[in-house]
Amino acid sequence: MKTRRSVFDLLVTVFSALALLSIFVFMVLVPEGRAYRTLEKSVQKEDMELSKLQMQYDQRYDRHTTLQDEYRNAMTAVERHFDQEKFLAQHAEDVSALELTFKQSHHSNSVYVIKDFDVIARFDSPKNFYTFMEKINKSDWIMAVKVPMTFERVGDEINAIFSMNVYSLN
Amino acid sequence: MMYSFIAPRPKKLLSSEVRLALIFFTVIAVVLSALYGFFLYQNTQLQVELSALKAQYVEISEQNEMLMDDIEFIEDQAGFIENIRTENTILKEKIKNFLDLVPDEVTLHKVALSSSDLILEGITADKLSFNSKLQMPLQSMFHQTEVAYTPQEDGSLQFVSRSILHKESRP
Repeated sequence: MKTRRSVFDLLVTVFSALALLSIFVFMVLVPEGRAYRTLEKSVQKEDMELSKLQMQYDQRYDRHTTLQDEYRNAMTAVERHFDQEKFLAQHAEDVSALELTFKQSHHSNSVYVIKDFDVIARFDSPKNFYTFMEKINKSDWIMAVKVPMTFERVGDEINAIFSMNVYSLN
Repeated sequence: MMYSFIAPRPKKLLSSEVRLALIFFTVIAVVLSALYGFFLYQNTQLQVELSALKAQYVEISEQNEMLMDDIEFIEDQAGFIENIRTENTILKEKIKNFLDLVPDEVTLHKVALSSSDLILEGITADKLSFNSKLQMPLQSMFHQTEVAYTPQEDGSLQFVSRSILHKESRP
């Protein structure tokens, strides 16, 4: 009698425990485990994408730094306001006379302000004119010498008449 | 073991087998609960990590966009400025190359250069040296060249040369 009771108790205990554990495992533990796997994969994926983006950013940053170093002077020049007096002083040694007449100012694509100037310059020799042109490219401002150009002999000197556009950022 | 009729042995609520089974399942339950706790903790941590990664992604994306815009701006500016400087250099070289052509027999009084033509005015000792040393190279550089001569009292010739460059028509 005692043995049958014991076996019954044991069976009830085992099956009840198994039932409770199964419910816990399948209803709670497995979904939480699945969520863990999914989240882990998401984190790995996001981490990989972030690494790619970071790599792309680093490459662009390097390119940006290189460009900034390479074009620092040009970028500064295009941002600088044109100073006519300074320009005349800078080129005084290449010309025997230099005259700038401001004509008009207009915009280009809303990016640049373009100032048009008429230039009358007098040179001792063509070499001075070449030096003047080279210095224009290295000057503190962005300037474009425009045709038509006229060179006339005045005594032993050359009188050059041309127009010039000075570009600066709007 | 001593048996007695007056002192009954103590009765236990659970038999030893049931207790063993209960201990066994309790241990399993503890292990499973620990696993559940691990999942809960890890999921919370992963959620936090995922949110941080997403925020970082958005931040770097924005920085990347700004950097790209900046690069594009610098490249545009640099291209534009380089173009201006190249045109200045080309113009200077064009004038230099042309003036280097002028022989000693020819004295120029006026040079007018535009995008489509070149007008020269000056004095030459004779037609032959003008034609061979200046006219020929001009003819190779321009599509059309016309020269008008006016004899001077001292025997030299005053000339006015006009060289025209036709603009190429594109289909």
